[in-house]
Amino acid sequence: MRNLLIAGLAILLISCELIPTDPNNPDNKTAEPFGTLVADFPVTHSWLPTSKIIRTDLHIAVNAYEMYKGKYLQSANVTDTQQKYTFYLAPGTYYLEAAIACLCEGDSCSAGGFPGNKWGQKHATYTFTVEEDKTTEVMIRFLQ
Amino acid sequence: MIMRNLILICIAMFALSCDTEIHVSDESGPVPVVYCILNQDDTIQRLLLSKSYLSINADIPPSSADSLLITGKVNVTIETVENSQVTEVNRFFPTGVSKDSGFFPNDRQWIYQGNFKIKEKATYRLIIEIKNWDYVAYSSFQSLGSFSLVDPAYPVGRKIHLLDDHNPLVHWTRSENAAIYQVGFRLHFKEIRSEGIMDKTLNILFATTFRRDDPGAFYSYTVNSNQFYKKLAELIPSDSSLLRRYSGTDVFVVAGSESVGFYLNSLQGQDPFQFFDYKNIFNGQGLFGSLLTAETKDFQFDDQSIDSLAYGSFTKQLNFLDSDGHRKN
Repeated sequence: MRNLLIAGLAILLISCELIPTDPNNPDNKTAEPFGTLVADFPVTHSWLPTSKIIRTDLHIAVNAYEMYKGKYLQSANVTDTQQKYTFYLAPGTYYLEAAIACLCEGDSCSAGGFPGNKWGQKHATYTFTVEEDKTTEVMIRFLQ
Repeated sequence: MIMRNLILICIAMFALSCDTEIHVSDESGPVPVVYCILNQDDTIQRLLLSKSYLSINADIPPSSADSLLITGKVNVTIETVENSQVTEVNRFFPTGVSKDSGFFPNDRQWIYQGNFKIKEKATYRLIIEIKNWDYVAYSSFQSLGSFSLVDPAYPVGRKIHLLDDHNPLVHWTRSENAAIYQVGFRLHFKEIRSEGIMDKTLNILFATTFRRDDPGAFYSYTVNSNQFYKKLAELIPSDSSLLRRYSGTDVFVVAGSESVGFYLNSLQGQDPFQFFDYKNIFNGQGLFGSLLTAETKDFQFDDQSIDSLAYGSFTKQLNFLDSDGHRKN
């Protein structure tokens, strides 16, 4: 009986060695491998002033279907003051969707190649592959 | 013997001459306490006037209904000064507003109100004349220059993505004479109950930034998406009997004059053992300054942000509809 008690206590003592937990990562998840995508998004146009063309969308989707439905994995808050946008993604193949809009008045936008008039948009899509610890660059260009 | 008498007389003179009382507390009476932050976005201007409440030899006397009120005639005037010339004189008139009684039993407080538009980059001079006290308190400051919000922009064409993969950046130009800025989002949503639909608006304010440097093109502030949802959850009560639908967002930046900036800066991170309030009222306590807002209205969040509002860990209990207009429990 005494030996059994000692064995029981020994098991309890050994099993009580707690694994230290990180308060910022209570589930002890290991970091996923990540790669970087840099999207170069200049605003250029042949027949319209570039001051009247703005970036409106820049999204990453896991496949074409999700992109079509507008269910994006990541999106950037695009601005007039930034040309390059960075995304950190797990290794894999993705879809990128970018859009610009024309702000010219009258029929200048449609004459310049945009569908419709003011706020008419042009879209461009790309596929790209992200590799672990590597940077992939996508050059976004629109049909003139 | 003569020498002994002389010494006694000298000691007596020393002992008698030392009868000097030292007053620990200032018994010069109360001073006016003035808070006047002119609103450069509006024409209604307000000033809060009360008086200081002094302890006597570290004893706090019992308060009465007029402990904070300045009785009798008080003239409150604000002058506009341009090129060293007074170009406009505006009188403020008292309006009583109710107050929680609290430590002071008075349930009214005097707000002085004027109706005029604040000019940009002008000097404003405040003069408070208290007739019963034969007393004048005064102050002056330089009003703010206009500024603009650079980003986010074009609410018709750009949606706001409010997730931590790409937190929104707010950019704005410098306002002349400003020392402090605060970025905020004004959220519009609908509350759907069985009795009907009600429109609601909520301001979510982020940290103030004390900035007097020349930013070059613009100042920048990153809105932490998680902080936004956390603040929202703190500000909106959860109620399982209703549904909420997101309607839109206005983005704004409030600029504060140098006096407002120094005042708020003095309150932040202050050592409680060296407590001091910044003031710019001569012959009184308080603050005289102005605020000016730059904003862009009617942004929409993108679908991912609306879904995060509906089902995210901070806000799921608020019962917002998702981007498809559904609520999955």
